[in-house]
Amino acid sequence: MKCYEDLVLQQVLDGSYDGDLQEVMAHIELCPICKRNFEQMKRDEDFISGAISEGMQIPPANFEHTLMLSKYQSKNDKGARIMNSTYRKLAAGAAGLAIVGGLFAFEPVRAMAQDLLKVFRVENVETISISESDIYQIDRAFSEGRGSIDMQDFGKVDVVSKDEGVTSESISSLEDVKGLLANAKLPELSEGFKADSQAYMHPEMDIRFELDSAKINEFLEYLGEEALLPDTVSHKPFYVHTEEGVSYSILKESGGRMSIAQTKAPSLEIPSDIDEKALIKSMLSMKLIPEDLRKQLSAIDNLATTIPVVYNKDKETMEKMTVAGEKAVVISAKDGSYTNMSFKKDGYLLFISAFDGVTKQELVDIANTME
Amino acid sequence: MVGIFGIPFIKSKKEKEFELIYRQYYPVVYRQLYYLLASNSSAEDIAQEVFIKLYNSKSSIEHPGAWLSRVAANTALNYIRSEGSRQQRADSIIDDFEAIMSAEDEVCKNEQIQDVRRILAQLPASQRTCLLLKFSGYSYDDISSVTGIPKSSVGQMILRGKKKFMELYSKEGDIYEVL
Repeated sequence: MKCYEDLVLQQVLDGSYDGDLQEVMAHIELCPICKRNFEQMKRDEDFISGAISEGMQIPPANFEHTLMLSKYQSKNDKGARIMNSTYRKLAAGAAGLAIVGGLFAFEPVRAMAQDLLKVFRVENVETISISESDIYQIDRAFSEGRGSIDMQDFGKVDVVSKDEGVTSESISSLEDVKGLLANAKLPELSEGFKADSQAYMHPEMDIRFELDSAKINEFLEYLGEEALLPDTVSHKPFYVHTEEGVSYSILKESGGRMSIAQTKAPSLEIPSDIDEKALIKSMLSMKLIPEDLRKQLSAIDNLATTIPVVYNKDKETMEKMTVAGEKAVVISAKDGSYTNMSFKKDGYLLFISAFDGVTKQELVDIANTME
Repeated sequence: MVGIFGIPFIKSKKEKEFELIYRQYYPVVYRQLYYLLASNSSAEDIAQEVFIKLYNSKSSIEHPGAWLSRVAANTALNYIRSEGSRQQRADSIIDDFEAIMSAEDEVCKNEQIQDVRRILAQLPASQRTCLLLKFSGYSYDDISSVTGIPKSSVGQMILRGKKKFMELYSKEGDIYEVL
């Protein structure tokens, strides 16, 4: 059998050979010349790939964040260059404080802010898990209903920031963070760690939801649900209000990063004529909620005052531990690419993430020094 | 998954498609940008921008890989040009790559990276473009569609580019001996 040209071997390497791959591979196995040639090409391939990738660190893909920015961008000034990567992470983080971040089971501290609104404030940190099959089941419930569903049909979500947005400040040491937020909890840095030179102030922010219960109910009926939303919720504003916060990064000199964000607990405001317990009950009885989620949610006493956010138990592990004397929740990616920790201390919520080479143990050790 | 009262927000069809493309191509676009700019933070910023453009694109995109590589190259080029000088956009991705690779980059101090970039700069433009697109992870189809080089010749370009690269590298010095 004739030997193959380098071009064919290259196409094989690139997965772009249109002929009979098995035949080529069988020949390479048997023919010492082609085999040596092929091995050499593979070594060159690895060498070049390594050389041009020197210093490259691909961050974990953050789809939710990109989607959020994309939607934001689609509604706003298209020409504007969006901020740098750190800023964007933090801006997303700020919204995340309110919506994502861990599961907050709160003890309701109900303050009647105004006559119109009931206010609930996040008090404790807890978690709930979701599996890939749960996600699939929910997705399927919807796609079997009407194919493509756009949340925009069901209501409106707006984010209102009272100031111009997140601002960045230069800092020369961690102590400077206290100049931004007087009650900032600062860690003590051990050997090999240093503060990044920028810190960020996050403004207060209101996330406003308005539901169209008629449209939602129409859809629920279509899905065969019996539990419907009460008409009273329709077109009334729900707010998630986040407080001022600060965030900054700690760099590991041998490579890696931690980001620390601190804010007062966000609060949820709903119209006062809504019976939140009845609302929750009707939502929980919907069939599209997978059974194991329903069980977990039902087990939480004060679900009425909870914004539950889930972690993916197929891709992440969750553990509870005591950090700096407080109960903390730690969610780690199973592939080891990141660890997120949340806990509450002296009325503040703290979110610490470690990635790019900072280990969970290092994160825990540093968090333990935060007083 | 983001939820309120335990009800996850449901992704629309558009969002699901976007997610599939994003998850498949994020590392590919990132590598392309890193190869062009030798900076992790620029690669991250621009990759983000490219996917936001994808989401907000009005026309339907048949070959996402080709589209992404073209928009990534163009966005990277605009990025390194000073704000005032956003002149005409180059017509071909090969010109974009050429313009980016030949731009002064004082940002990168790492000598090893400098060496590699010097070598890449000496490759013929189309070989360099094919080589970098291939190592980013684009398919021959994508590379062909975006460079205008026939698919049957893409492999040849890559092969020649590799040989030239190795040649220049061993000429250039000692690092190869480490292997």
